[in-house]
Amino acid sequence: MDPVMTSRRQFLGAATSALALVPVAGPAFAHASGAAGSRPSFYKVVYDERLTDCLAFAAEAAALGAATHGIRGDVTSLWYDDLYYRWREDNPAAIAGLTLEPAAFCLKVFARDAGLHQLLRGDHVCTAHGHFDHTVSAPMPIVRRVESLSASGEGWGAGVARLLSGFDGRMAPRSRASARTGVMSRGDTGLHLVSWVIAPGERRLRSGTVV
Amino acid sequence: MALPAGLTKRDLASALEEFAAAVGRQFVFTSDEHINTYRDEFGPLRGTPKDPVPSAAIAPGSVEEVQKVVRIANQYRVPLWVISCGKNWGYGGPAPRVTGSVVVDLKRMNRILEVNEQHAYALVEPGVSYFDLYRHIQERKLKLWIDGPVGGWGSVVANTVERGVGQSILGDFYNFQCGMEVVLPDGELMRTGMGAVPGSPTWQQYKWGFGPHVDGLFSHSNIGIVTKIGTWLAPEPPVFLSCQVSVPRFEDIVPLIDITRPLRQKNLLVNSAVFPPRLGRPQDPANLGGWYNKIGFYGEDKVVDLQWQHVQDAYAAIPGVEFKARRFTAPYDAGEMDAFGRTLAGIPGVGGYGYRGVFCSPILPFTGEAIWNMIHSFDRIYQEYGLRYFGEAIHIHQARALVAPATVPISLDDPKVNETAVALVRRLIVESTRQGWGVYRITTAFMDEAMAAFSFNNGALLRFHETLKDALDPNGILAPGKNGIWPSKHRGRQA
Repeated sequence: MDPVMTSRRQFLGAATSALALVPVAGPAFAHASGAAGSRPSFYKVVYDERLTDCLAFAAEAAALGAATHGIRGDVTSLWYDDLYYRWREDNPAAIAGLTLEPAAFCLKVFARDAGLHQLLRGDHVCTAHGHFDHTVSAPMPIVRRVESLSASGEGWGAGVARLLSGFDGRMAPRSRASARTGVMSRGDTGLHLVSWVIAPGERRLRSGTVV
Repeated sequence: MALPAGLTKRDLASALEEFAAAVGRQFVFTSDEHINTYRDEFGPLRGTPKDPVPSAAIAPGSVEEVQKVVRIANQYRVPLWVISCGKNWGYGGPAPRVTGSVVVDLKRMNRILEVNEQHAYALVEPGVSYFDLYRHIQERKLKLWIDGPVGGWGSVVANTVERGVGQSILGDFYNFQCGMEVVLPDGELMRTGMGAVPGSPTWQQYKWGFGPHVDGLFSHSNIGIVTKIGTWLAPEPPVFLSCQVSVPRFEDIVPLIDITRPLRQKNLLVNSAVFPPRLGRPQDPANLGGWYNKIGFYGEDKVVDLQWQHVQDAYAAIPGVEFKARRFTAPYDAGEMDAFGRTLAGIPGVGGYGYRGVFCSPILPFTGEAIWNMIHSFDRIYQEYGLRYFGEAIHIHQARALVAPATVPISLDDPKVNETAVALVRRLIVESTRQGWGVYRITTAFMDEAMAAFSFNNGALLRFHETLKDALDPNGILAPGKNGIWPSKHRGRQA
């Protein structure tokens, strides 16, 4: 029985700000009018097709040139039939999404097993007063634009898509920012959505470690 | 770097150098980024000083490397915590019990050594997940079924020795284990059962071997590192029925369980799981809907139809009961099944992670009265903490007892929620003990309390475990504190 070869990259899993990331040219969502043969920087943009804000997110991502992929909470098939293979390639695929927390958690764990990591996380929580509170931990260029979600109102899902479209993969210190969108009348108190980016990177050794 | 008690920085550094020589420098991890991947994502102690942190992690790639690691650990008295795929969510995840332990990550040991279709078994290494085994079988079009836990990413070895449960025909995982290979705390390599006969063809076919049956010593245990396990699989059935029995009222759980019991004892049901009316949310016993029992039937055409009919006839005694069934025949297409159908067919997935929590899972007698008593006594305790009883499925993989996990929610970022969780779980364990219910499994934070319930004859069972621990692991290097079993140097100073 041939052993399953496990490269160090595949074995190791996530790291955070110490990573030197493979630079990605241009915006993360390819434009529909991009050059022939060009490939989206995000292989897929994932959304939960049961949820209004995720539908708005996906619509905007698609308008910006992303290949979107709808789930209904469960990421098993997406991983088993698709990402499992894409993440074993020499250039594993980056993905992004807006989903419920369990789906984000599962993809983060699958990704970590394959040597990728979560480079951006946004928590979008509907408060008892009907606001959505947005807290985003991401590279600085993204974080500087989180405040734009405040003006998005009920269209904040589309605003998140626009934020992620600016993700370009270059190393930058991670920071965190918050925003709040106005009162909505949907009665989704407690709804907690997570925006995320999962991508590969080339690990840079830190001095002083044993390895 | 977190140091374990009693170990100097210099000794740990020396040990890490020797670990690097044994497994390869590239498979020794000490950076914060990597250490953070060995924390418990579902841990109730997160953010507190008691949240256990490893000092390092190492990843041996072979049995020989595991043996070297164990010998080095003995030399320097380094505590090790062994994980397989590191997905023990809700029960401690990949995190050690003792801060400063070196995590031994067996994920690189991920070979499927044999899948035998004729005798329906597999022999696997610790890094093989249920997804891996399922994919292997599907790609080769073998006529075999597996079963798995809520997360198909879990290790077949680890989930078996932790006595996890599934919902299909093989759901009592440990019961279907046959033969182990174990690295003992002194580095000795041992095979159990018929595996101790060199060249035996029945290592994965006959459980008992000769002489005392020792496999159980390595389940829920810290006196060996399991490096191979045999697990029985099921022949692919020609017909599979995915069925549901729904009862309308909350109190119908009593007759539902009492009717299920003889059906299970007669093997008319091989396994099932009873789901509460608001799975994933707190349940107020005063104001709820009913339950649903997911049942699979597997086998020959007319036989499964007769079984299902008989089972429906039995449940018909409950007013308002409803039945649903979907029939599938080989060759099977997982895409045609809904989520519960896939679970009953043993198809691995990760769709069950709907909430973050830890579990207190009492083992109850197989009676409706016991379930009713547990729900109400637990609910009174939940209410002391401003919560309501939060039940997971009631697992019916055994014929004479029930596993009834109660979930306590935890938070990623609210320490008050987690403080409440810790206090609540401790109270639930006290109540379980008072009622005579031992627990099925528990997360690392509560292992001492859970073991303390097994106190017959002044704790004779724990003393027996400690006697074995002291004899086999005198330096106390292997998973100290696992399930409340501490090496002698730690006793009385538990974390």
